[in-house]
Amino acid sequence: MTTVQQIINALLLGGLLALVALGFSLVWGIMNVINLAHGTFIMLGAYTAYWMFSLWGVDPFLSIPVAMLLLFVLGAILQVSVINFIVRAPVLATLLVTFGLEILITNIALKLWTADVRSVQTHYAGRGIALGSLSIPYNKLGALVLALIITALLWLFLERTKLGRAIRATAYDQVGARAVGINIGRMYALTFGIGAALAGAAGALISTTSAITPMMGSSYTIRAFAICVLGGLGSVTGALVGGLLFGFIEVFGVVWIGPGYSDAIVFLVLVLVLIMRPQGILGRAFSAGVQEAGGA
Amino acid sequence: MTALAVPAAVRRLVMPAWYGALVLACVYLALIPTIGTGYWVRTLTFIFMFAVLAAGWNLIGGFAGYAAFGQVGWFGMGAYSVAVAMSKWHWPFYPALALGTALPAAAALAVGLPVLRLRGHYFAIATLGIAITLRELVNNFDLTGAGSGLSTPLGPSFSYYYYLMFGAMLLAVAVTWMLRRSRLGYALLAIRENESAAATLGVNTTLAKAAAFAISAALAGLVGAIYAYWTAFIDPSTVFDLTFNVRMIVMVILGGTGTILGPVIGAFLLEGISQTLWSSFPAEHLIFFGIAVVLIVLFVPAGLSGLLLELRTLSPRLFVRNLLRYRV
Amino acid sequence: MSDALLRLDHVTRRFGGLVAVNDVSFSVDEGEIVGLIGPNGAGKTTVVDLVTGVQRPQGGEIFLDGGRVTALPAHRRSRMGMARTFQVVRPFAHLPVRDNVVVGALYGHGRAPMREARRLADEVLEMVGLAHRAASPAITLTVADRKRLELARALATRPRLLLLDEAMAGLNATEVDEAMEVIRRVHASGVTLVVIEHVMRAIMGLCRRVLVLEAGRLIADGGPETVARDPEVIRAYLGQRWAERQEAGRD
Repeated sequence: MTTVQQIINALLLGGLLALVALGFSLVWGIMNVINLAHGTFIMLGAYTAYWMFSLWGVDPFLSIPVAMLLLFVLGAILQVSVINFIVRAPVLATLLVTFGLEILITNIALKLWTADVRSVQTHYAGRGIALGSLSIPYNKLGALVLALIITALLWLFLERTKLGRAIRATAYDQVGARAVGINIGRMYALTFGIGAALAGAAGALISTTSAITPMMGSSYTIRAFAICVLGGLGSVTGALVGGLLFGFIEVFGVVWIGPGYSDAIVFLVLVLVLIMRPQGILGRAFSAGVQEAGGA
Repeated sequence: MTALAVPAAVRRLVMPAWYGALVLACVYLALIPTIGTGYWVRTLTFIFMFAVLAAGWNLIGGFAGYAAFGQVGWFGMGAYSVAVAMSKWHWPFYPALALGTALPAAAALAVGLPVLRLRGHYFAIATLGIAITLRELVNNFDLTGAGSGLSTPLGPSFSYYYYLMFGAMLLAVAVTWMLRRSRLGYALLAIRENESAAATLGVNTTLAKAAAFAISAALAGLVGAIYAYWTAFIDPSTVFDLTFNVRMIVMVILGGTGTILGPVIGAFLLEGISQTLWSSFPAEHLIFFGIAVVLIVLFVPAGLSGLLLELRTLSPRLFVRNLLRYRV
Repeated sequence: MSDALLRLDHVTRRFGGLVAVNDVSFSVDEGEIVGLIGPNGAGKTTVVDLVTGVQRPQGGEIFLDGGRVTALPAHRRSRMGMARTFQVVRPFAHLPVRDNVVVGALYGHGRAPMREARRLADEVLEMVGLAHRAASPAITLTVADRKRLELARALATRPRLLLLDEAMAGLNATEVDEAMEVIRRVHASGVTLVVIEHVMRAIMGLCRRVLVLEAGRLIADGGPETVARDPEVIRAYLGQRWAERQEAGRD
């Protein structure tokens, strides 16, 4: 494959990975919670699209809103019933509880849907735009475009709406936010719900390009973490920059080092970045206050 | 957090009885292979294994306060060291066991020096990454049989492994006990409480953390090595099982973080329950396990040793108070 | 020429645009008790951080006993005989008071073996008046006792040079007297001291020499009476209000 094709692949992958990391970054940035169950939300989004396609023939791109809605509800419920109790607990408690949820959700999915590898075979799967020797698959292009649209919508929501500003205010200054009448618990529920909904959208998009299993989640959680560290935490642009960077690292890492090492490459880069810039490349965005308060 | 605050009078009264009970328990456990069923031998071998993993995590996570989240990487490394040494190089078991203990310790020392500069989430995820990276390397190398696993030669009886794991558990407790009383132990506790203050008092914090990380890796590698010989076949997904990370940490929390016997007690409780569930609900036991993890962290974050300290005020309200402590 | 125990040579530390310590040079001879005073935010704590290795300077050099320590980590300097207390106390909160002090005795300059360290810890706790709290977790101590614990931990390292960063802040008059007595005894045992303090009575009573920092610069260095009469020092302490009054008078 030519280098130009590799660059195209990296961009297609990077855009999707940005969406994978977006909800994770939001939750981390606003609440200082590393949600190790994030990948299972992606998995659930992917299964939503899969079942809607195989039961009723709904195109996976059209099932995005359904996946988002379902996961928003699940996320908000989990936040209110579990996560709100440990948001301010030491790091270890949040990691354990969210990993406990990851084990729980993954194994319920295994029980319901077995460990079979499944995929969504749309009629346009495998087809794409050909430019000379280059090819751009329709599904990956669609996934990229939708990922960028959703990312842009989240940015508009956070920057331009009153609710979005209220969410960001809770990250800057909890006391101040409470003083002006913002209900922190409700904002967190909303944030976690949105984070889960974004993961659901990412999952639905992933179902159009990759095979899915109940165990697919953890590798996306790890990627989301790495992207946040690369791009900078808690900002939409950070996730976008990190995701695109990451797309290049993965695609070219596989070309130069070999397939089968993608997780190792992810981690090598991650650890190197962490050691050189312990707070991430772009530094900590708006979570500084939360991190001070939430330190173990 | 620690059991240090138990009043001296209570200690004097309770301690002799406590030590007596421990000795009796050890004697009883030592007799199990001759008086117990195969089921109990197997279950207890697992419990001992997790007790060692938990005790190892306790050194870095409980004493030094660094939330390592990838200890299973050292377990897997120990297991693969034995499998490769015995099946590919035809080493006898004991040299292979030594390799399986020393190699993870050396690797943890090398990786720990840079990684232990990270804190909080960053340290936790970086260590998780080490485990995932090790699994992937094993998955890709021919020497380690790639993804298809490796067999080790068939060993002696099941009671042999039982005693190996039992010995490993006694060793882990002894190491913890000695460490708690040693210069290094004081340094680790100081680091957990306030790292910069420890440094200004002359503690080489980097070295102390790396030493604790290496010892914890050696313990994990040791039982990984025994495990590989015991099961006679290993593959990446069983010896790099990421749920092990959570298991060992929850055991430590349940028994009492930073205590000497807490990890062992936690292992007996959690793995005992887990094995029972596994035998009755092989498909669903992990669902229960996930729920148990969440409930333990929410309701008994200070573990049984924490409950012991609040014995006088022990009431259902304590659990509610634990639950509400960090609520937003 | 015999070297000073501590020497700072044109030391500078910036935080972004703020110059916290600006080209500061001074030396402290073995056996001295030197006061370090100045208005809030003058850079006193930063000087202690730079000397003890908690922070690194961007410019200049620091010498201990003639050896360059500018780039050495904090624990190495502790082993060479430096100790400090923190203005904002940093106890090992969940450890018993005695274990807090044992850490200092095990490491630091003395590096006592375990048994000796425990004995030393008890001795130091007795000296600072904390012996009766030895078994309590440090988190249960009062503010005054936490200050005592800071001092005890530092003393347990057997320092040659001890920097006290507002070790008396928050103490009442009697407690200040007790603390001064302890410091005199420490000094008599051969420890060189740098004392940061807002309690002027303590500075005047303890120090034969006082350094004055203002806005990161060293503006005076001399005997306490001389320094107290120094016009620049008076301006540093009274300057702002004085200037404001001038300003108000003009309206």
